[in-house]
Amino acid sequence: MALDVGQIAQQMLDAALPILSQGGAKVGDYAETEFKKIAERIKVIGEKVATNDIHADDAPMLLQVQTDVAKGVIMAATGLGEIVVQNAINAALGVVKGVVNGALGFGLII
Amino acid sequence: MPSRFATITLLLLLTGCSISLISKYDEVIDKGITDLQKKMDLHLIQKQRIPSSSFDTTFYDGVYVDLQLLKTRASSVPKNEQTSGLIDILVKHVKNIEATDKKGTSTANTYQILQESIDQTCGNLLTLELAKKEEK
Repeated sequence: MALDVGQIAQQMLDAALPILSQGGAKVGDYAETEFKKIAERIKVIGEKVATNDIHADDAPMLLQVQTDVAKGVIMAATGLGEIVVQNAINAALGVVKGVVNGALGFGLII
Repeated sequence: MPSRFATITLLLLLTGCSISLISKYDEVIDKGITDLQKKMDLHLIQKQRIPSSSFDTTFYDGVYVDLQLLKTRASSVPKNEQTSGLIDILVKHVKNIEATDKKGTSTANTYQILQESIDQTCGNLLTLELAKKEEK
């Protein structure tokens, strides 16, 4: 069994890093954008209530809706992050599959 | 993310298989959300034209049935919490729209904001579902 653990780890890292770096914005970035949208919504609701384009009794519900939207964005971002991590790990395993299984003589990575 | 990567990779080397952190793409969810958005958008555009138009119970009954079917399907699949949670948020949006519609006194601007919320949450659901298509 001639396995170079250091080399295998490096190959896996080389396969995974490009995928991880393409993972896009982090959840914190999404949160920042959503807080800005909530702030903007507060401003618009205030202006529209002042001009009677929105009734004051609808205003709290409209803000609640915007916070629900923000919650959904964070949820989706979390899911997208999991997909990136999953793809990176599977790419890392895929790149060393032949070497590992060949050296061991059986299918460890399937 | 790198430390999480290292931990999961170590676990994988012990278990020896590829991993799945999130459910697979589901065409029924994809199509169901697209159809629901179309239905809600049409309704909300009509409400923006005539905000005082009559309340239609049958319309909401149909929407809740569609949402319940999608929710049941999403919840029955493991590792699908985000999709399931986003459908819950859609249900909340529809409840708000129904209450507003039933009250019958809201303005076109209110319906416009409610339509934006539906569009954004449907968009989030579709982005997530379509990203699952690219899973490796």
